[in-house]
Amino acid sequence: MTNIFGKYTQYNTIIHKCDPRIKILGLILIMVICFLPYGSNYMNQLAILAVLGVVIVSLMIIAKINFLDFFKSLKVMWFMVIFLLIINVFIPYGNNEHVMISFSNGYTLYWEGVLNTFMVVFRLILMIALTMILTSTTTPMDITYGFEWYLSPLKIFKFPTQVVAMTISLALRFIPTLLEQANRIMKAQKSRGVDYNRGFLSKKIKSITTLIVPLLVSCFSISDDLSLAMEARGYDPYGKRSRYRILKFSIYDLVSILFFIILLGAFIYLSVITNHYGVNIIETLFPLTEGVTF
Amino acid sequence: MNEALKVKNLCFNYDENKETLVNLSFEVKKGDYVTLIGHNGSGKSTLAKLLTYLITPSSGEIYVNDLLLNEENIGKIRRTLGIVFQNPDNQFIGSTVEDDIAFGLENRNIPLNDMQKLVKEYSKKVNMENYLKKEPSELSGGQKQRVAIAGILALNLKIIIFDEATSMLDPEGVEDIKHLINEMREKDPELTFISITHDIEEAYLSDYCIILNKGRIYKEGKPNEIFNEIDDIKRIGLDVPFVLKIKNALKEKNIFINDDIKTIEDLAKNICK
Repeated sequence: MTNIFGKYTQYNTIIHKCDPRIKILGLILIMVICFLPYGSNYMNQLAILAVLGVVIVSLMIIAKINFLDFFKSLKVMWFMVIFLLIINVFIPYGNNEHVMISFSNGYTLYWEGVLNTFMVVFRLILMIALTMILTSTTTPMDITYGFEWYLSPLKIFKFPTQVVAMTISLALRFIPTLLEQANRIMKAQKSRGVDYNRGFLSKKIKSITTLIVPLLVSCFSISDDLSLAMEARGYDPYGKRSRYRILKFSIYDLVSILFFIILLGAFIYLSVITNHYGVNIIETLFPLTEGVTF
Repeated sequence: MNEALKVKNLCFNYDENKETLVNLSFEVKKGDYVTLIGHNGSGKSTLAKLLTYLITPSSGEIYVNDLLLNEENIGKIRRTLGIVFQNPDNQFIGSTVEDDIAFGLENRNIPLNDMQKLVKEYSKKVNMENYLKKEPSELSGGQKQRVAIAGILALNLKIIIFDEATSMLDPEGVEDIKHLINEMREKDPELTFISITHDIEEAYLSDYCIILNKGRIYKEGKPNEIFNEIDDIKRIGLDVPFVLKIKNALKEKNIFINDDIKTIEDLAKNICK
């Protein structure tokens, strides 16, 4: 079983070499960029999102991400897409001009709803792509260390950041072990006649309990063993520990910081001129085209 | 101080009605390879946990290098005593092989440069130097156990306890680890190994053997002496080492073989002479 956000794959790209702290910062910045308001002109919004899409796709190509895996991970979005479509189409908001269906009782559906849905879904796809770039270029351990670094200001308030980091890294470390365990229990129960695939919902829930209860029990026994092993090797959560992995800034990090600052600056500028001053970018850039308005 | 470990009147019970360990007393000499054998439920693993202070005794005392094992001394004692558990998966703490070997070193606050050297050195000793970046899910049980052993050896301990550490390995893996133990003991004659095992052959090869039965010491002494009392050994359902069986069969035919001969290979050579 693979993680829906993609597993770490080892390559030697610039993005792989980058400091995890920078990558986390970049992820958050680009996510913010994705959700900035870009005015009310649909053509403008689509153009800006398309540019952002190109940027993210090129990042994915640089990071050598397997696009097949990416499309597979999008499968889980179907339910959300339908849900968003229903909400957006049946509850119209904003300026709606283009009628899709007009019911006899005066209730109308607008094309703008479909367009809004498309843009939200596109943004979500970009988010998944970004997360995938982070997770497939950074080991879980490095991500944990990165987060620990961002939490470090909390040390002033005596918040045990290293304990939190250790907990997260142990949780990540034991995901495959628990999956393996779950598979084993499932096979054992199947051989005893439990059917996980057929039957009504109530029956399925019943058969799932035959998986969950033993899994929980083995979870406790694993954590018991683990805590003994950690204690035996002298782990003291509040004691002073040295670090085997130390995060270091390199030239790549400087380049990526500059990249993120320029990207953020550019998109904030776009957001301000489109949203605040109502500038139509496409008309400004290509004055020869007849004002294509939507 | 010639004893690495001294146990005095040790008692332990998980619940009030059932006594798990009753009045154990024994000593382990420095540099010895001691085996603890017994059936499931004889209290072997409980004893291992008591020796590492993972659980506290109901009564009695344990001295490690003449230091009483208690809350106050445990920090000091953990720097000399380590344990490898049975299940290789549940004691793999780091996310990769190198992280796991480094875990104990990190706890000791060892600087990064020394850690990198030690990780390299000990991963080589257990033949895992090509797997440093691998995750536990990519390793076999034997490889994981070798990593756990490297993690313990890297700490430069004086007493190492194996709690059925080889029981989940294939015969080849067991052989590898036996070689490793012998190598370590040759290099450091002060190194004490305590192996908790079901393997009667391993017990026969050790320096000193303690047989536990129902929470009590049934027999202790040099393997040659205790296994020679075959009726006593068989009474509690344990098997007799293969080499000893042959020796005794030969003895009935008036062929005497030296007591020092303990492995099948040596025995074969001796018979062929």
